[in-house]
Amino acid sequence: MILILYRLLCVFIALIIIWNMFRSDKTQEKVVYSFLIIPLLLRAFLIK
Amino acid sequence: MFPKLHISLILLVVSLLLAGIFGRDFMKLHEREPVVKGPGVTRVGKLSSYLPALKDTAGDTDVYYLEGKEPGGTVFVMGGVHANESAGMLSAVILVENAVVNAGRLIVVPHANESGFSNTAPSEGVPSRFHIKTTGGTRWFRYGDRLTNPIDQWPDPEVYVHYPSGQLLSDFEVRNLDRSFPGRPNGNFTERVAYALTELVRKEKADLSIDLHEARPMNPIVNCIITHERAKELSSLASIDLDSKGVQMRLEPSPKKLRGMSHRELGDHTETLAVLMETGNPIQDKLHARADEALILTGKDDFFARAASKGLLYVPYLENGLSMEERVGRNVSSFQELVTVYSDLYPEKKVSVMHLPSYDQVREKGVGQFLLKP
Repeated sequence: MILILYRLLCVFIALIIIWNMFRSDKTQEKVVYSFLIIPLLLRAFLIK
Repeated sequence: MFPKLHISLILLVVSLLLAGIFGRDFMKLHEREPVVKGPGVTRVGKLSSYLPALKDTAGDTDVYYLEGKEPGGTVFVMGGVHANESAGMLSAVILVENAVVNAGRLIVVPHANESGFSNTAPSEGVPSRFHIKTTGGTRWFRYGDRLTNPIDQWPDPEVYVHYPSGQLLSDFEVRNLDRSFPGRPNGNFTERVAYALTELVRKEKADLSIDLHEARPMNPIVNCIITHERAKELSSLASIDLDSKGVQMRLEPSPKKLRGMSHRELGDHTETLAVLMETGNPIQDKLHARADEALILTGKDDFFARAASKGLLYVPYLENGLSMEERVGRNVSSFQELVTVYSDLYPEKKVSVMHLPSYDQVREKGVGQFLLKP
């Protein structure tokens, strides 16, 4: 159960970051957001 | 609504690509290295046959049975209880691929904690694999972590309460297989693996159980046989014999008040004579410089050489480091000595194992010489 919640949390935060990436008008911020989502995606897929 | 949409899309694709590349690297940790059935292997089973709940989980692993034609006792060997103690796992593989049993039985589990091999310690920068040249080509082996992969058991509690003693241990020890014996069938993942191994010892009526480990060279418990009190006579005689052959393996009593370790719990909860062997592995210590494949294989490091010159190590730091050859040779020759002494002490349960290399042979010819072509 706790693992399902963890995955949902990872997906939720990843979606928020992607949303912010698309909403931001600063390229530098977009790049930072793009890096931030990588570990969250790996965790969502339980790869590490 | 979405400024610079094209940049966002490109960056998103790049992120997905990078996640794919990194993910593939992580997934390689789950790939299991081949272990070749040697001439003495009569059948291969699964650990889950001792606890069906482990079937199709990361806790299931291969069990190799080497049965002799003559009756005798049963010796059980496990490597990879700690997946970062490579010489233990590799020594077990050497047994599977070389040993031929004439009398009695030998049961070997080279990757006791399979889950531990599917991750590496965070922040340590260690390689996930190492390679050994053999006569039939290069073989690869995983270098894992001391603990179960958190993917398989998470989260750690604030305090780990060992079952059944109730002893309190540090949080992360809950994923340490060698703090989880004797285990329980309905416990956490690591406890279930420990329970299956304990059940193997019980059901197969293992007379002698040997757990192959490695330790930090700055730890006093190294190059030694840790022995349960019922195995004291056996281990003492083996230690003396090994010493006379130039292989120093000190004797350490299994502490009664530190629970969860195989030599303590298998000895207390089963009929087996339980021992654990430790060789010195520099990559496990904090003193080393770069942690790479060479360090796993040669154990050579300038900081260790300096520490040795100041008398800070508990193992003789050889001119050429603490090579895999030295460590595997030490384990295999100690195994042979324990089995020989056991057969002398209990002739009605004699176990005769042939075709294993000696300490000197492994050191001279290299480990690869005794690994088969997959």
